[in-house]
Formats: sequence, structure tokens, C-alpha cells
Amino acid sequence: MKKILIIEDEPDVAKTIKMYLEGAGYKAEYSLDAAETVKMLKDYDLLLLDLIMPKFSGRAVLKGIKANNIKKPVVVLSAVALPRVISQELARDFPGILFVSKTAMYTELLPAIKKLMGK
Amino acid sequence: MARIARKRKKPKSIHVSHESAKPSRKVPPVACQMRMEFELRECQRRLRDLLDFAPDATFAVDLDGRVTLWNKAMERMTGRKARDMMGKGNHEYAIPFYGKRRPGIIELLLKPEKRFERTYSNFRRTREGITAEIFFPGLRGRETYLWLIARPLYSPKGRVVGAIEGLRDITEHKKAQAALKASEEKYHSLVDHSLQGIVIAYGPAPRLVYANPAIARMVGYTTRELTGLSPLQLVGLIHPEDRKKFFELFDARLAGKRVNPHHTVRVIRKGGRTIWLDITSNLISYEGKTALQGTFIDVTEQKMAEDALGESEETFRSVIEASHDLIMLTQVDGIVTYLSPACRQVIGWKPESLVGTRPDIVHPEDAARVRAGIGQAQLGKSGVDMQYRIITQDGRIRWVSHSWSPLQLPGKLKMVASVVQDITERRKTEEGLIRQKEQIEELSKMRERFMADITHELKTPLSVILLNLEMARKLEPRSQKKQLQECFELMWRNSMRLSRSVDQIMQLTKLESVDVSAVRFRISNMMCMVCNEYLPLAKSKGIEFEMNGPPIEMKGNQHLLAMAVSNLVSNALKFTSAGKVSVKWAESGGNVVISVSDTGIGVRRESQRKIFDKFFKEDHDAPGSGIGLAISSEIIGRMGGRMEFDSVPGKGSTFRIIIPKEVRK
Repeated sequence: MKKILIIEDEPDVAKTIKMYLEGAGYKAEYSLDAAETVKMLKDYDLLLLDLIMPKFSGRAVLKGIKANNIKKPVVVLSAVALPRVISQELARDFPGILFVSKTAMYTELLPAIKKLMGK
Repeated sequence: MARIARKRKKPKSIHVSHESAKPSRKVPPVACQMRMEFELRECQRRLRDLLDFAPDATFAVDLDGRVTLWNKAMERMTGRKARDMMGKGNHEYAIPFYGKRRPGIIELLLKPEKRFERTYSNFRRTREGITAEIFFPGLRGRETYLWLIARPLYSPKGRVVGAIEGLRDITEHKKAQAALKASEEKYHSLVDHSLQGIVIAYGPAPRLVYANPAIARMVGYTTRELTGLSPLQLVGLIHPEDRKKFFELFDARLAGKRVNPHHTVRVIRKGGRTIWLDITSNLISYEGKTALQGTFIDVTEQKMAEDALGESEETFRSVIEASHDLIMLTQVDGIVTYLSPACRQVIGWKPESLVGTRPDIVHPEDAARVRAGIGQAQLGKSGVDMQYRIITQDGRIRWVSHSWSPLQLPGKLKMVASVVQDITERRKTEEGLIRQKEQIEELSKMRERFMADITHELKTPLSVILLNLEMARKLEPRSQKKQLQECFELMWRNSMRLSRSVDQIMQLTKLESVDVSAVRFRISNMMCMVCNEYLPLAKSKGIEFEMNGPPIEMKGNQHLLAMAVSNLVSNALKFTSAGKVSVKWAESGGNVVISVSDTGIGVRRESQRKIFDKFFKEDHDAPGSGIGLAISSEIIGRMGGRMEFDSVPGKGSTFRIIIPKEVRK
């Protein structure tokens, strides 16, 4: 069973995603603190990463992953006002990752995960 | 020689020829005759000796043109010896002079011949003889002028027996005469053509003995009119105001006293116009009398220009003195030489305390910049609108604008002219405008960010609701009742959060006209309401959450106060990942103090000043809209209270609301 790590500072969002993924047949765990993400990632097959967090932002995590040359698939989640702008920015800076707007998770999250896992 | 020639009244003494000297009287007895002959010979010898040693060259011929006398001076002049010349005829004597045989005046005396007479200058024939002058370009190798005189020689019976000629070398005399003439001509030419007026005057009653054309032009009279003026008329030429002084100087100068030979005098021209003349006088001797030579230069135009300059200077001075800007003159070394009266208004210093100094009044922070600018002035460069601060005499700071330009007046030291304006008020206005503009720009940026953040705030709970709805749709109500309940719980909570965010946005826009009407309520009740809302969040984040305080009743708008507290609690939980959030309240004086403490990330020192500003967020990527604290602070302010906070970055923060127990409307 594929293991997914959720990094999300909002407990309700994290909990909901975890339940949703478990319902879809994945093993999911979450952390409200992004600081240890890179270390934790070795035990997981995929990372779901929130972008806007206090202290340690999603962008900082992505930089850490890139710097450590970790090739795990990443789906970035965010509730930003202009998802298209952010998604283009991320695709340019971190090729290979997928971006899903939080309000579209109920339709787009599972296809995005499947797309990356299928590779 | 004239003297010799005149001796013809004693003919005996000039018998110079043996032949012609033969006695013609009745023969005396022998002894007597011998004695007479002896005396005669002696007489002739003495005469020859005399002629030999005479300084002028002299020779004589007989009627046949044969040389009968050739004295030593003649030998010296011609280089021919007497023994070679004596008795020689056929114009032999002419060869040393003319280089050929031709008659000289000695023969022309006896036999006039016009064509030869024309070869002389000043040829003059009288009853007594001939005088003439002649020039030889190369007599014995040099230019020679000779003055010649020829006289006939008579026999004792008064018959002409020959002639005698004296030659005098007048070369030096001629040259001196020519030089004198040339010098005189030069002097006259100079004086006549001089642009300076020149006069020669006698005193003590003044008379002009000479006036050149230039002075005549200056005063409008002819030279002849000038020299014809009477002493009284001459006095009348001098301007009445200058007359006394002028003639005092004239007398003193003429008396040989040492007075300044230069001065300026006003002269009345023919026709009445006054002109200015500069005079230099020299004491000279003129035709044997002491005289004054005066040299005049017409300086009327110069004087008038000076007068006009004086007037225009006066005009400029009054303009400068009336100026509201400070006009300043400095030497290139920075020493101030002039400050206009505006000095006190513009830079707050008395002019007399700065003139003659290098003023040290520039604000220390601007001093280096000003020094560099003034350095440019020293290099001869001008500058415009250099703005800096100065310190006034009474220690206040003022802004000035300084423009300068190097100034080089003819015959004066190089200067720097400056205009200094007081721009303190202008600066204040400008600075205010700049600050306002920056504030507007910042506000506009904040609004933009706020829109993005508020959207994030709305979207986050919405995403939770949507995803739970999606899940709930697929759950089996009976077998998965527990999961279903959890979904509803999450949806409920996030719907509330969504609703609260919307409220906040509405409140923010309406806060200006919010109703602060007061009702009595228990603080503990209100606090329970707020905290219950956040308990699940604290629990899920693993944060200890406590609240306590005494039972206090207060009067005010309970909902608004709850909103203010709610924002503080929300922030505390948002920025704390581990530890504790505690909410406390107490009474102090007539106030209620509510404090919310956390063990979160704290507020960075540089952000503490702005923390209550609308839309302010420490971090662009930090969650939240950035309006919570602004709303709280606004609410509390309207209720007559205030907000405070302490924060240690990395350790935690405490926010306090201090509000009157009885909020008046």
C-alpha cells in the first residue's frame, strides 16, 4: 500500500485529507510542522504539501527537497487567490510537481496522485 | 681766409710770389737796397710760416693758374706735398678734390664760369670775393663738407696778380646741424600728430606759447586762437570749481615746487560744454625761459561712464538690499565679504557676525556635501539649488537652497556670488507630500495583498467542507456512522470559520459606523463562548489551552469585545505549534484587563511598531488576512480602551486589552 505524507498546518484540512486518502485506499499520515519534512519523506511514496504555513513555508520545503536531490513525487496544495499564477511559477521553479487548488481537491486530488504514482 | 684777404690794404705784406714780389719803385742806393731786399725776404718767409701753421687749408695761384702757395693744412687735407704742387698749373690743385682738372672757386674768382659755379652750394660772389660750400663723398676716404672762401691777390700797385683760397672742413658742424634739424622735425611731427594735447605755457600770468592740434580739437579752438588767448581768457577756460586749485598747482609747478604732476581738471570748451582732462606737467626751458609743458588726455567719456556706473551700482545695491533672498559675496577661500540685509531672515544670523569669517553654520550631517559643493565654486564652477541644513544663531535648524556663480570683475579679485533661500517650509511640505505618497502606495499594496489573503482565508475552510462533503456522499450512514459524524463535525466547524471570516470582512468595512451601545454582561460568559470555539483547534494542534479569571460584570458591546478577543486567541493558536495558550482577565482600577499569552514564534522586533496596522503580516507566506489585530485594536479604541503587547521572538507573546469597566456610549 502506497504511503502518503501530508504537510499541512491547518489541523482540519490535514485531518480531512488523511481521511479522504484512507477512504481511497492509501496509507496517509500528516504533520502540522513542515520543519522535518525532508527527513520524514524517506518513509513515504508521495508528498502532499501545503504552500502557505507559518514559520516554514511550502516553498522552503520544496527548496530543501531540490537541494537534497530527493526524487519523490510532490503534489502542492494551496488556497491561494490566483492558483494559475502560482501553479505556473511552481512548474517553472520545481519541474515535475503538480499543483492542486484546495477548493478543487474533491475532484482533482486523486487524479493528480494517480498520475504521479503511475509513473 | 677772410682775415688774410682783408690785408689787401697793406699789399706789401702779401707778396708771396718771387716774380710778383720784385720791387717796382725807383732803385735806392745798394746798401739800402740790400737791406730792403733782406727785410722783404724775411717778411715773405715769416708770412709763409704763418700761412703754413694756420689751421685752415690755404693755397694760392697766379694769373696763369700756377700754384704759388700750398700750406701744411693743405698738405694734410689733400695728401699732396707743397714741393710737388708749387708752380704747377693746368688745374693741378683740383685733382685731389675733383679727381680731374677743372677750375675751383679760386679760378672762378678771376674767370667766372656758370657751369662750374653750379657745382657748389651757397655759392656767393661779392665785391670782395667768393664764398661757397661743397660736399665731397670721398675726400681722403670720408664724406667731407668744405666751406670755401677765395679772394684776389693784389700787386703793390693794386693790380690783381693771383688769388688765394681758404678751405675749412665743416663736416662735423654740418652733421650736427642735420641731426638737430632731424630731431626738431621729429619733435614737431610727434607733437603735431599726438593724440594727446600738448601746450607750452609761461607764467605767472598764464600765456600759451605753443598748442598742438590735439589740444585745439579737445577745447574747440584753433591752435592760433589758443596761443592768442589773454591770461584772463585762459583762466576762463578752467571750470570755476577747479580754477583755484588748478592755478595754485600751476604756480607751484612753475616755481619748481614738488607737487603731484598729474591731476584732472574740468575745462570749458568753446560753446560751453564741460570736458574732463587729465594733465601731466613738466617744467622745461623754452627759448631761454622757464616754462611748463602740459600734456592733456580727454577723459570725459571715462568720467561719464564712471558716473553712470556709480548710478547703476546704486540701483543694483538697492535691489540687492530689498531682496528677500540672501545675496552673499565670498572670496574663493570662503571668507564672506558681503551679506545682504535678508541674512537675518534667511539664515538667522546677523550679517556682522559672519562677514570677514568662514562661517561654520552648516549642519554637521550636511557639512561634507556642502564642502564638496563649495570646492566646485573654488574651481570656478557654478552650482544651482544645493539644499542643506544650517544652524541659526539661536541654535535652530533651517533648510536653505544655495545657488552660486563665480564672479570676475575687471581689476578685482575672483569672487563667488551666491543666492541663498530659506526653504524650510517648502521642505516640510515636500516631505509631508512624499510621506503621504509612500503611505498611499503602501496602503494600496496592502489592499492587494489583503484581497489575496482574505481569499485564502475563505478558501481554506471551504476546501475542508467540500472534501468532507465528497467523502460523506460515499459513506454508508449506518456502518460508517462514526466517520460520518466526524465529517459533519469538520464541516460545521469550517462553515463557522467561513462565516466568521465573512463577518470580519463586513465588520472591517463597517467599523467606522459600528454601534458601541452598552449592555451589562459577565466577562466569564463571554470568554467561555470565545474559548469553546477554539478548543478543538488547540486540541488538534496538541496545544494546552487554559482560561481563568474572577467573576466580573462590565458594561459594553459584548459581541464586539468577543470579536476582539477572538482575534487574539486565533492568532495565538495560529502562531504556536507547541506549548500553551492562556487567556486571563482581571480588574485593575476602573478597567478590565484581558490578556492572551502564547508560547509561539513571537513578533520580530522590527515588526512590533506595525503590528496593529491594517493588513500587516510579518511574513508574506504566513496564513491569515492580516486584519485581526487591526480590527481588535479599532474596536477597543472605539470602546475607550487600548491594546498592549509584550513579545520575545521565538519565546512567545502576550497581548492585552485594557478597557473601562463601564464603556460610555
